[in-house]
Amino acid sequence: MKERMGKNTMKKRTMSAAMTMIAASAMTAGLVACGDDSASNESVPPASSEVGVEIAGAWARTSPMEVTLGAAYMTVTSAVDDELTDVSVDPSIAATAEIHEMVMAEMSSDTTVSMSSETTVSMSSETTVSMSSDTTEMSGPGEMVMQEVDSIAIPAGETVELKPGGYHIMLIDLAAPLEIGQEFDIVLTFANAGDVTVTVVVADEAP
Amino acid sequence: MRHGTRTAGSTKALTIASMLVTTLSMPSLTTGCGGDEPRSLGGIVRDEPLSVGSVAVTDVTDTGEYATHDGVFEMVASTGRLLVVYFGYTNCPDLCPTTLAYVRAAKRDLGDDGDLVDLAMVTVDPDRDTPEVLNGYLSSFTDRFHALQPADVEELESAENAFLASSSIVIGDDGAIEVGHSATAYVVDSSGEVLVEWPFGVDKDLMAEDLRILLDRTSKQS
Repeated sequence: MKERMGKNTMKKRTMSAAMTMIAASAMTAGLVACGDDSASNESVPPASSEVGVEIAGAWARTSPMEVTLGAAYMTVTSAVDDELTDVSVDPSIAATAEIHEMVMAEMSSDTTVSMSSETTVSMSSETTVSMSSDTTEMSGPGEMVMQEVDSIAIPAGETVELKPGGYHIMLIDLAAPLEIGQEFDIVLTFANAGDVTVTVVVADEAP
Repeated sequence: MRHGTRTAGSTKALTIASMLVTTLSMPSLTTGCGGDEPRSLGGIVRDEPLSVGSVAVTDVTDTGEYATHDGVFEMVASTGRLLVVYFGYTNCPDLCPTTLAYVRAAKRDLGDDGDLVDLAMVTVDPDRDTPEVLNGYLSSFTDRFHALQPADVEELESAENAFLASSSIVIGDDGAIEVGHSATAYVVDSSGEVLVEWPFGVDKDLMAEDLRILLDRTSKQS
C-alpha cells in the first residue's frame, strides 16, 4: 500500500490545495443554501464593552462524568485591533481558566496516507471527477495536541471564533460538573477593551 | 524539551489528509436541506478498507449494556449492528467530548435505530484512564459502550496501527502531561471492516446520515 501511495506525490499535493479551495467555496455556498448558520450566534445576547468588543454565542460543554476539565467557546468581534490576554472564572465554577488552542503536533513524518471520499453529492461535475478518480495524498503530522496560548489577537472588524478544534477557554479543576442549562460568568480581559464579563450557557452542543 | 514520547509511528499523515477530504465532503450536508439526491457517505471511505477485526484490546467495561464480557474486546460489530470506535482520553476537554457528543446526538437523531450503534473507546492515556474513570466517562454518552484500556503500550500501538491512528504522551519538565492523538472516529461493521472514517470536524448531522445509510445497508445484508 505504501508503494502505491508513493507515486505522483507532487501532482496530488497540488491538487489537494486546489481541492481545499473548491471545498471552502462549496462549503460557504452550502451554508448559505441551508440558511441555518446566520442565526446560530444570536441565541445569547451579545456582551459588549464601550471600546467595541462584542462577544456572542458563548457556551460551555456539559462535562462528562469523571472529568474535571471543561471548555467554553464563543465568538469575539472588535471594532479596533485588540487582544484577548486573560480569562478568569469564579472559583465556585473552576479553580483556573486558561486560553488554549488545538494544534497539529509538530512531528516529522516520511510517510503518506492515501484515501478518497465517496462523497460526490453537491459538487460540480468537474470536482466530482477529480474526487472519485484520484486520491488525496499528503505527508505531515497527524496528531492534534492542546497548548496554552498567551493571547488571541482580535483584528479590527474581524470575528474570531473560539470553537471545538481551535481556540477554547479551558476550565481546570471544575468545582462541580457542568450541567445542561447552567449559566456562569467568564471574565475576558482585553488589552484595549479591558475586562468584559460574558455569561456562558452550558449545553451539549454549540447554540 | 520533550521526552517520554511514544508514537505509533507510521501514520502521522492521516489527520491532515483526512481533514482535507472531509472539508471537501462537507457540501453533502446540503442534501439535508431537502433534496432527493443519491445518498452517499459523507465521511472518508478508503479504496482499500481497513480491516480491524483481529484487533483485540483489554475490555474493562463494568456498567451499561456490555458490562458482561470476557475481558478482551475484538473490533467487530455484533450482527446487524454498527460499532463506532474512537481513540481518546478523558482529560481531553475539547476534541474528545465534541466528537463523542456528536455521536450521541447522531444516535439520538436515528431514533430507535440509534440503539443499533455501539461505541468503543480505546484510551490512549491508559495510566490515568482507570476502569472507573473510563466507565463513568463513557456512560455520559451512551449505555452501549465498550471501555477499552490497553494493558500495555504494545497493545495500544497494535490497535492504533490497524486503524492507522496514532497517539503520543509527552511529560514536560514541569510534569505537565501532554497527550497528542489523531482524532478520527471509525465506523466498523460485523466483519471488522472500517466502513467510514470521521476525522475531527465532521458534525452530528453528517454522522447521523452516514449511520442511516450504513444501517440501511446492514439490514439489507442480513
